[in-house]
Formats: sequence, structure tokens, C-alpha cells
Amino acid sequence: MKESPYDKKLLEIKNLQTGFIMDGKLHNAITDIHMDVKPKEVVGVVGESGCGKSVLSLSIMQLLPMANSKIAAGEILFNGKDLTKLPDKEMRHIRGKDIAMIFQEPMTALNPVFTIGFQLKEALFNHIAISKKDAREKAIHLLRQVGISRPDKVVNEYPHQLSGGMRQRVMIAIAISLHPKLLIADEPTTALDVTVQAQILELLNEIQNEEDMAIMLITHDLGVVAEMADRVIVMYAGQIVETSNVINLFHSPKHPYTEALLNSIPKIDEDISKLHTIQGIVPSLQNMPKTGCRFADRCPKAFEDCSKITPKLAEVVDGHHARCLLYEQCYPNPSNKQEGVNL
Amino acid sequence: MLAYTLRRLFSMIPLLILVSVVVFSLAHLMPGDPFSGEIDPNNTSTDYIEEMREKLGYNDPITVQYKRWVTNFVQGDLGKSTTYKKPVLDVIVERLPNTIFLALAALIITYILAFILGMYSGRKPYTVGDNLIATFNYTGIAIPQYIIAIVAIYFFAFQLGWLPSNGSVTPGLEEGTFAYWNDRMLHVILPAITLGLFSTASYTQFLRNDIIQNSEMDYVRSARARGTSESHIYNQHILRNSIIPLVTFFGFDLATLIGGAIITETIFTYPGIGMLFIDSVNTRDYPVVMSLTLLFSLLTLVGNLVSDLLYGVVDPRIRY
Ligand SMILES: Nc1ncnc2c1ncn2[C@@H]1O[C@H](COP(=O)(O)OP(=O)(O)OP(=O)(O)O)[C@@H](O)[C@H]1O
Ligand code: SF4
Ligand SMILES: [Mg+2]
Repeated sequence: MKESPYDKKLLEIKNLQTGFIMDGKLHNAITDIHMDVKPKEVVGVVGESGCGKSVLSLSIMQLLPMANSKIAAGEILFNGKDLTKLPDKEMRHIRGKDIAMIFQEPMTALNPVFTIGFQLKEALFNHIAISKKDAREKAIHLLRQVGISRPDKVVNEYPHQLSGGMRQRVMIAIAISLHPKLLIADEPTTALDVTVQAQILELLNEIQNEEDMAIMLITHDLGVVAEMADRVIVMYAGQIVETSNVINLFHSPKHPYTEALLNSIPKIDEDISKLHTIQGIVPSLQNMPKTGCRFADRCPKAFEDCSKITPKLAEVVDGHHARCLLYEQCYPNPSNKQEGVNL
Repeated sequence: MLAYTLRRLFSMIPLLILVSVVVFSLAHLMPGDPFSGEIDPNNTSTDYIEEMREKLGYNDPITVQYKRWVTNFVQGDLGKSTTYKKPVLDVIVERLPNTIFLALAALIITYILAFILGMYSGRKPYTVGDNLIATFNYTGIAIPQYIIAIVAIYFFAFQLGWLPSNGSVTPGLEEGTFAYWNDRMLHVILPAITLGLFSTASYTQFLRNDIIQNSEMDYVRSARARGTSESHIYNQHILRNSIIPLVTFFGFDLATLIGGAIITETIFTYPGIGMLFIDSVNTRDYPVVMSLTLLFSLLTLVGNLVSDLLYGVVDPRIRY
């Protein structure tokens, strides 16, 4: 493939492996993660609860719980710099300035004893030299930009005086305050009412256009992905199982897990009683199968090889990657069909 | 806030009435009677005693006596001390400044130490320093106050001779001079540390645990996500939250410190109202005992109110 400026990668993750130390042993929450985000691109990351979406985003931010987490292998390159090797102080300058993040729970994401203005201005003071007066004006301006009415009043209010939707708007205002190049949104609408969800997504869409920033949008709602994303990464049990552009993913999913996910979306013209669900549960960190496909227990298309041979992520059609033994390319070593191992 | 305060003050009245009935009844159930102190020991004729009892109203029905006592009390007449032969109010007012001085010193020591130690432990939990602080604290909590007082007197007063072990000031110093205040300071240190030790230890551990708990909160993670430094996170975000429960303890301290002063003052023979209370119990000086008991109850109620009001001041989510 030829290099064009549009192929330049903002974020590139290579072979990332992050785990938690439990009972003295490292249990990987995510393994073999290869992915990238290009400037101004919206990448959706989908997967069931517990598949490692938050661990992935916290790894990028270097905000994993300090007590027991460990990035065991891999590189996270942001503008060419490996974030996993960056000293704390330098990482702090990137957080909130070049990479911003918003979280699932707007109700608890703001400090209850400080005003909205304090927390907005703090983001500014952390990174730029700005007078108190200018910071306040900027804060009000940002609140207006995220669609909060009477921002000059809200700036003096405390989080408990705001609704969940408004708080998430405030979090977005904080996140975009320094025009980051990448916004990681970890299930930004999951905790909100359906109507508010739509408004927040609308806002993210607008802001993405205005600010020209890339968004890594984490969700377990494929509908959200269809609406927002350019490209999709599907995760299962700590691994990427499929990635492609959004149109191909929805029109011709390659991985049985993705197919199952798509089938579980209720369609308007379908009888609700026939709603498909995926049988079984995600294996826990301690009980990951050592060999074979991690989806084998639940996969409707599973066959003999699936429990013995570990598939690798490979390009199955142009630009469309999957991790499934239904595709010849995914055998760890296609010539002799040799076994691979799960990390 | 004013309306709330008034309402709370108003609601104290029934409680105080209840306490006064209990105090009055207890005083009457105790051996001897308030009159024993007034008796002229040389005149034991029953006629004389009977006459005095009648004169002082001890033969009236109990309800009449209670009513008289309460009426006088609210008018500021707390009765006459049978030991000191002067108004109870004067006796208490004479001793009160010493106790306030002691309680203030204990409070200052408690809060300064608890903040320094608690913040260190909370930010660096499970380190050697944290473990040392915890050991010190649990020792302080486990050992009774009077033993700590005795050990402190033994080491700092007798062995090392650094600090005085009794009284509130060396007699003969001119009031108001630097030497006088310096001497009072020295006299208050040991009792204040003894008095404040329990609170210091429990507040330190409380603050530590609260800081650890807060450090796992979502708001800390989102503050980090916007590039806030660790020192800002601990000294602003977390501390501002952890201060809330600690400040509300302050109100309860009012009552516990005065209560604790009963033991401490007695051991250090520090002439405050705590020692006065014990002395008065021993000499059956009922008017003093009754007044002090009511004062302690009132302080507890006021302390609770102060706590609640402070809560409203430090926590923006609470508005009265
Ligand atoms: N601090 C931790 N200690 C131990 N295990 C953890 C910790 N945090 C996450 N895990 C485990 O890592 C795995 C991935 O969790 P993660 O939070 O990334 O899931 P997720 O995809 O974000 O799910 P959700 O949709 O519910 O947010 C889970 O099995 C979880 O139990
Ligand atoms: S490898 Fe086998 S079990 Fe895994 S997804 Fe493909 S068909 Fe299903
Ligand atoms: Mg998550």
C-alpha cells in the first residue's frame, strides 16, 4: 500500500497486552491488540460487557488502577511517542490536552464539592498560562458550545444541581477545552435516558466536525456505531475479533460473533419474541481457554479445529480483518495448520 | 440557615427539660441531701435541723422544689455551692477559662496532628510510614486515658523534667505577662496531649481511610484524565471531600473534650470544671453537680447543632 498523508496514524497500538495481578498471577484482560486511529477518524469499539473495552482505553490514557494492573507487553504510539514508556509528568501533559477522555458515569465523574467552573478552569490551568478572568470566560464559552443554556449561571453551580445529560455535556466541555486530537469516549451515553443519549451523540457529532478531532467511541450499542463511526473494532474476551469499515461490517460481517451481535439488534419489522441472544457467557480472566478460539463455547458455527487451534487476526478481504478459522488466512500457520496459543 | 438554627434551638427545650428532671431526681436519690453541706457541725439538735430544712424549702413537695430550682436556674441563679459558700455560677465561671484553654489546646494538637499524619498515610498507604502511624494510633486508642496520663507524667515530668505535671500555672507569676502565659502553655501541654490523643488517633485513621476511599472515586480518575497533578488531586480534590466528615466531628468534640477533661484534669490536678465536677461529687456539693451535669448536656446538644451547621457550610450539597 502506498503512503499518503491520510494514512498517517494518530494512534497506533501494537501487540498490546494488559492484565491484572490476582493471587500473585498476571491474568490478561486484553491481548494481542493491534489497532490504529487516524486523524479526524471516528473508530467504534464494540463488544459485550467485560470484553476489555475500558481496559483498552485506560491503557491508552495510562490511567489503569495503580494497585494491580500491568501493561505486560506492547506499544501505544501516539504521534510516534510510546505512551507506555513516557514518564508520569510527560504523560500528564498529554492527558486532557492531546488526548481527552469522557466516561460512562456522568453522575460521579465530577467532584461533588467543586463548582462546574472550577473543574472546567482546572483543565485549562493544567496546560496553559491563562488568567483567572480569561479562564472563566473561556469556561462559559465552552459551556455554551456544548449546548448548556445560561452558562454564566451554570459555571457557578455544583454538579448535584445538574441533570445527568447536562453533566455529560460538562464532561464533554472539559474534554474539548484544549482541542485534543483524540477523544476517547467510554460508553458516554450508556447511563443516560434514550432521548438524552440521542442529544449527546448529536453533540459529539457536531463537535467532531467543528474540532476536527478523532474519536474512539466505545459502546456496546451497534446502533450508535452505525450512526457515528467510520471504522469498527469488534472485541471479544480481550481480543479483537473483527475490524473493518462500518459499511462492510454491517453488510457482510465475517466473524460469527459479529453476526450474532448484529442479529441481536431488534429490527422494527421483526417479531420481538424472536429476538436473538447469544447463548452462554464470556469466559472470565482466570478461565480463558488456553488453546483454541475463545468464542468456541458459544459459536453456532464451531467445528473440530475451533477448540484445538488458536486463530489469529488476519485480513480476510481487502481491509477487512477477522479472527476465525472459517477463513484459511487465520490459521496460525496456514501451510501445516499448526496450533497457536492464547496468551 | 437562621430559621433552621432557631428551629433546632427550639427543639432542644423538651430535651433539656427531660434532662433537668433526671438530674433533679438523681440528686434526690443520692445519699445525703444538699442540705448536709449547710449544716453547722456543732449544732446537731433536731429542732435546729428541722428549722433549717423548713427555711430552705426541703420539706416542700418535690414538684414545688423542682419548680423553684428550674425557675431560679433559668434566671441565672444556679444556687449556692455548699463547699465554697458562694454562688455556683461564680464557682463555674472561675474554672471555665482553664477548661476552655485545655480543650482548645487539645483541639489544635488533635487537628494539626491528624491532618499531617492522616494525609501522609492516606496518600502512601501500606508503606512503612503508614504502618508506624497505624501502630501508634491503635496503641493510643487501646490504652485508657488515665494510664497514658500516668505514663506521660512519669516520663516527661519526673524522669525528663521537661514539663510540669500539675496545676494550671505556677503560683506567684503576674497575670498577663509573657512569663505567665508561657507557664500556662507549659502546664497545658501534657494534659492537652493526653486529652487529645484518642481523637488524634481515631481522626488520623479516619482521614487515612477516607482518603484511600476517595482516591478510588470516579471524579479522581476524571481529574487525572484532564491532566491534574497528583498533588492537586490529593490536596484539593480528595482533601476537600475528606474534610467534610472531619469538620463535623468538631461539634461532637465539644462534648467529648469536656467529658474527657473530667479524667484528665483530675489526674493532672488541673483546676478546670472537670476537676470541679469530681470534687463536687466527693463533697456532695449537689448544686454544683447538678449545674455541671446540665451544662454538659447542653454542650452535647449545642455540639450536635454545631456539627450539623458546619456540615451545611462545608458540603455544598447540604443547604438549610
Ligand atoms: N481493577 C481490576 N482488577 C481485576 N480485574 C479487572 C479490573 N478491571 C477490570 N477487570 C477485568 O478486566 C476485564 C475487562 O474489563 P473492562 O472493564 O475493560 O470491560 P468492558 O468491556 O469495559 O465492560 P463494560 O461494557 O461493562 O464497561 C473484565 O473481566 C474485568 O473483570
Ligand atoms: S474459530 Fe470457530 S469457534 Fe471461533 S468464531 Fe470461528 S467458527 Fe466460531
Ligand atoms: Mg467499560
